[in-house]
Amino acid sequence: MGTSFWLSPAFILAAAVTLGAGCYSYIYLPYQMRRSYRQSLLTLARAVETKDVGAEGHGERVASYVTEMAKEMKLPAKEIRKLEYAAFLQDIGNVRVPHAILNKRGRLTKQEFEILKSHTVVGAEMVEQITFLRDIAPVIRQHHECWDGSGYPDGLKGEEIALGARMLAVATAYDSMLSRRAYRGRKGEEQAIAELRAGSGTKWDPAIVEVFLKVLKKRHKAQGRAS
Amino acid sequence: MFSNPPQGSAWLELLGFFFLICASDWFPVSLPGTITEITMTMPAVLGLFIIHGVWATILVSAPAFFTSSIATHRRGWPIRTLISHTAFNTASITVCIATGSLAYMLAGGLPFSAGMNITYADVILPLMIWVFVTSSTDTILVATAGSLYMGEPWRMHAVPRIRWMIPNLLVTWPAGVLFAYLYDVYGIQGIILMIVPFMVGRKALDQYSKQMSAYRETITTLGVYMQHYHPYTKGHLERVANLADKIAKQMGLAMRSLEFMKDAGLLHDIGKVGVDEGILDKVGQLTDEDWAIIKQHPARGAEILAQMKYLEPIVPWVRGHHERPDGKGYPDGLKDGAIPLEAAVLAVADAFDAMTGGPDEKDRRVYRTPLTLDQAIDQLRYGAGTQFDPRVVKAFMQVMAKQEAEGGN
Repeated sequence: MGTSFWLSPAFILAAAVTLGAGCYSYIYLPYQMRRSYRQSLLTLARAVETKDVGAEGHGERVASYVTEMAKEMKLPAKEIRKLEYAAFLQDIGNVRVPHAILNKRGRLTKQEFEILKSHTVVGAEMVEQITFLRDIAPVIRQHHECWDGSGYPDGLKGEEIALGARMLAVATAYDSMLSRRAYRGRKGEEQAIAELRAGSGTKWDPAIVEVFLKVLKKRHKAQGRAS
Repeated sequence: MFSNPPQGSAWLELLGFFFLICASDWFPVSLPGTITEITMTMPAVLGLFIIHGVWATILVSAPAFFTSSIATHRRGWPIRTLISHTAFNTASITVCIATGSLAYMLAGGLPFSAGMNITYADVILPLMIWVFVTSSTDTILVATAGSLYMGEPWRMHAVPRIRWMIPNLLVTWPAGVLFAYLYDVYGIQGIILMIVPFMVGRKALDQYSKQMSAYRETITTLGVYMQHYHPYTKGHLERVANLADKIAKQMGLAMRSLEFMKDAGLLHDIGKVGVDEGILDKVGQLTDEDWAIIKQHPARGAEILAQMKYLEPIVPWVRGHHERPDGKGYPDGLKDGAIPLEAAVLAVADAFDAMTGGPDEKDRRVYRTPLTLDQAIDQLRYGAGTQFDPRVVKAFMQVMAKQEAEGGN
């Protein structure tokens, strides 16, 4: 046997098969699986979005802002993935908010507003019970908190608010300003940016607003190059 | 019969095979999305047969199966189960090898023995017969034992195994021959050549299927929570899932269907997520527009589920859970045979639970007063053939009769 064994076609074939099977099952399959998992979460999130007329695609757009911000901030890949899922699922608690309240034109009564606010808590409670999603519960619960403590549900302040929630808050606000909702018309990009600047330090974490504006600038540059 | 009894260093070789077979049997690979497990056991047994003949094969395999049965028994099994399980495995591998070898001889396979110059070409076909007969015997024995033990129909145990026989045959036969060949040429190193790729694949597949079921569970659970727009839904979904599962088992549906039946029950109304609950819960007369919206939910649910790879099999079931055999259902107006049986199972389970409601007051639907158990059963019987699949209704009655016999309500 000796050296001839290590050079034999049988050995080379076996080594190739091992390598191939290894790559397939350790690299390709997990990749595929994570993709379809992401797709499934997104689909469920979209099903909820249809309830809130005008919100279609909101989660997906916010997710793309948030991932870009996270990359800008050099967060680890695992955190980025978590943030993306949190962005998809941030408004999942809306399943318990009646259609009539979500799409009401004009002012909500105090009671109706309380119900609307409950979507943060409900959404967090839902994901908290699921092992794989437990981590993102605080982000979902806190995505309507404000930097100065004027948000809901817990009135947290500054860095008491989870980083992911602070990021979601900025991206969500910007995306909502650009889209038309039952309760108000659409705003222009310039106006939205001005509003973000004005609210930086009161509504939103100023550092995060900076990051977000950088991401927007980068996007503009990329678009400029493309056209 | 085939060969001389092993002598001298051959005993050491046989010991090597003993450990090999034990190890292969200990570490099965479960294929994702199925209940099937594959092992390198049968290729190893075939390799042993080719090299040492029938007596040595039985001599090594029976103790190897005995050992691995004891080693792999599930924790918490009573001692009697362990004994009968081990005895069955040991006896069945002996019977399988014996019948396989007999068939091999009848098919013109020559006995292997040292000194006789048999080329692989001479025995390649008889070896296929060996594999075929061995695995058929195994299927028959396991299915019979399983159905006797569990008190379930034979078909339910046999069908999924028979379905796996062909791919199994196509793997075991060449793998076994290759096994023997490599051993012949390279000795023990040749065996390692076969085992290493297998172990790598095994480990990876195992991890994959674990992760996949975790993901699937996550998605299903999230889907269930999303349907809880109303307090009654939770209990309803769980009861429908359990009842559908029982009916499907009673009917002896394919393993794959059984595996997904609970998910289907839990997610059958996912198409209602995002629909205005003002319509879903409306008291009083629904307008045509309301109906049109409500009738969209099976198709919408199927659309949602079609995006989720883990739940692919249940897409047509969910789409069809409001179809009727007389063609008056929605969304496609399918008739009798065109409706997937699993969808018909969901329809009966869903209708029954909607009619009776749960034990709690809050589980009741707003728009009707619940029927008693007998009234609901009468309704199903009355609708058999028009609204419901009669086969499913029959199985449902049997499930109910069983429950009553067990002293439940």
